[in-house]
Amino acid sequence: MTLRAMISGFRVSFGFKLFAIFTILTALTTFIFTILHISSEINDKRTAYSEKALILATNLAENARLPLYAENLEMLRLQIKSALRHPEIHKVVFSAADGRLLADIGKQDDFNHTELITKTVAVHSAPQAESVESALTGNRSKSPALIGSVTLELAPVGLAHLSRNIAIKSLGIAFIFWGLVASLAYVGLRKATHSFNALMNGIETMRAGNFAVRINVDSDDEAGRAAQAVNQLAATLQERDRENARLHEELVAALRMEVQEEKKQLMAKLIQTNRMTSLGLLASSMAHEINNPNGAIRLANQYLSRACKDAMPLLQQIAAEEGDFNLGGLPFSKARGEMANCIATIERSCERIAHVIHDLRSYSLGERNEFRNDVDIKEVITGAMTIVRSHGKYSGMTFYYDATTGIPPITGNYHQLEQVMVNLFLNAIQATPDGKGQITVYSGFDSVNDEVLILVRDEGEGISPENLKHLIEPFYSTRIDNGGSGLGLFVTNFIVSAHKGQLEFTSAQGAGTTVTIRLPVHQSPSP
Amino acid sequence: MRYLIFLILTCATLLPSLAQAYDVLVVQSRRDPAYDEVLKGFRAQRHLSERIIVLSDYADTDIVRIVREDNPGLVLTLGDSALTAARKLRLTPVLALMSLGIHKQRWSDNICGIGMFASAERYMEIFKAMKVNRVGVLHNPAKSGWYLQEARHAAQTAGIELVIREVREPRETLAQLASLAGKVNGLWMLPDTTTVTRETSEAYFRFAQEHSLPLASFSVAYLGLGAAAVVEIDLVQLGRQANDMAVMMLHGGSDRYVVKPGKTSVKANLSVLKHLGISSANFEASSNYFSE
Repeated sequence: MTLRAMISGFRVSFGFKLFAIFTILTALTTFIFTILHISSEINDKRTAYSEKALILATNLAENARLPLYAENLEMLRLQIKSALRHPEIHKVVFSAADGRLLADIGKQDDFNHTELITKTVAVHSAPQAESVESALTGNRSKSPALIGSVTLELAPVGLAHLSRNIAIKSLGIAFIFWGLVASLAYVGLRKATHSFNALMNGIETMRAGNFAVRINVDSDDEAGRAAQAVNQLAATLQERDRENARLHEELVAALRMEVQEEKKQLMAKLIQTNRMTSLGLLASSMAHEINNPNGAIRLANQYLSRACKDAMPLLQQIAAEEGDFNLGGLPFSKARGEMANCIATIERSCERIAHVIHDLRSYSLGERNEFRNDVDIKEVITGAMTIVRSHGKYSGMTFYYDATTGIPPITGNYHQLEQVMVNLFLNAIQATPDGKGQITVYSGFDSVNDEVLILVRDEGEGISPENLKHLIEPFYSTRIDNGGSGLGLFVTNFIVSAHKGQLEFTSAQGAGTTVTIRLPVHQSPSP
Repeated sequence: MRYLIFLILTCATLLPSLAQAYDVLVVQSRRDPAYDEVLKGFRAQRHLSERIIVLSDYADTDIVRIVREDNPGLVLTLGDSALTAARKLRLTPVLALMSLGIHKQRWSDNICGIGMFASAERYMEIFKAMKVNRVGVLHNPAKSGWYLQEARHAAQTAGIELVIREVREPRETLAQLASLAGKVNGLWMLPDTTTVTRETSEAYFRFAQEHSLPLASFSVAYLGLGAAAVVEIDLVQLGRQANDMAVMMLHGGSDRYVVKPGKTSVKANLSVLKHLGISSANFEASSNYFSE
């Protein structure tokens, strides 16, 4: 620590401030009292001089009573000259009762006249002196007779010197007193602030974060009690610190575990999503692979159909000529119809395969954002049913579809709406125990609200009220472990909302679920 | 009805007269214990009905009118102011007491009184007792010249020389006193209002003290200031004496004069006598004593 820092620290210390205040106040008080003392002493001296002048004047008045009454000027002058022998008497004036000046003699010196003390004493007859009448009657006069007055000017010769001496002595004594008091105060303050310093050092250490330190308490004054309190506080803080550290560790561990769990779930979802993506790609690839042979089959079937059509007259002619013959294990009469049926079946099957493949490709590849104003909702439902039916896993399910007439085409994205229906069908299938049951689909038109209405009802296990609240939340699924992504109904709700429609669920535990979709007929796509 | 009115008017006229009929109208200069003492002696002798007027109680009192209305047989004045107020009376006899001015001038014939100057012989006795043979005395001839004549005679009889200084106004007193220095071995203070004032009375005692002179005075009040002996007038006796004179005047006595107080007493300050080296043995035989 540098000297400057030490001085700066000392200046801001409590002890220094106390010492400074005390010494300043002591100096101020001492100075004031000294000034008052000097003033009082000088005033006393001046008063003493004044009283001295009064005594001298009174004495003169006593001695000069008779010559003053007799107006014996010679005697008065003698008295004045005698009085002027006194070194401090500067001037004496005798005046008659009527104010006439009888004698006025003063010293010729260069004394400052402003410092002269002047006293005038009235000269009365002796109080015990009686007139003839009062002496005879014994009735004394209450006030003596005024004879004249004596004015005496006293020069306080030694007053200035005396005042200077008083001031020097008083200031010297005051300075010594102040120094002594300040020294004692310094010693006393050092002792008094020792406990404060210990307290401050302890607090500084604690402020740095070290709550293990304890302040040495060696007094029972305020600082000592404060030190005890700080020690208790430090102990409490130390204990709280330990507790915080423990809780922090537990929190970190808990967070770590929670993150790991969430990470695990997220990875599962990512895996599921990836699986779904792969499945889409696989479906697209499979569609391509299937479409080619299917095309070849259709072409071959067309050739077979043309060939049969060309060969049939010949075969009919042969049968007519030679009688019925077997063709493919069947008599020609039956085989002829069966062949036509087979060709038609092949054609229909190929067409169906092509249709499924087209739908699969459309579903997997997208065209999601295309809004058209001629979307036939029945076609959407039928397409979705086709897709789901094509999944051999759900062959146990029976679809019943009923639609009213006069359903107008709506504005929307065909494929997105188809995905909505597929998701609802899959959910219904998954909710049905053992994958066997009936899914009832109904579509209609609400002319009042100008909305198309779609109902999908299953006979499944239903949805609990608790799950019903989280049904459309992303990644919320009761079948995460069984390959559920938790995104089906979230995406469904998103698409319906994008079409300005509404999605409603009505379900009871064990009584199946009914999903209602309301789609406006005319609406513009969401941005 | 006419008789009733006459009766009422008669009562209204006569009853006050009857109520105010008295022998002596007492006119006091002021309220003073000394006057009360004189009146005490006056009343103790023979009863005379009286009415008292204290002049200091009123701003202006018309004694003449009161006398004309009350028609007293005698007016008794106490003090110089009362005497001055009664000067205008010409027919009603006036008896003046406690008045120094009774000797000052010639009054009208209806005024008489008792003076405040004790007999000069009494003073001579004192001086003889103090073995004083040259006595200094200051006086204003206008006020106490008459008394000095008696005093000279008495002194001559007693073998004492009077060194007399005349004083016309009080301020001269000090110089005249100073002129007595070394010429007298005793000092006599007369009840002269010119030579003895509040301003000058101190000078007597200072002079007496400075020159170690025994001083004889006229009032016991001066004993405390340094007078060796005083001749004091007995005020009660003065009242009795006045009563005698009043009775005589009320009964047609025609004497108009000023007499001296009948009874006086001598009092001495033994301490002063001792300081002056005067034996009090001679004194005891001729006087009463005063000791501080």
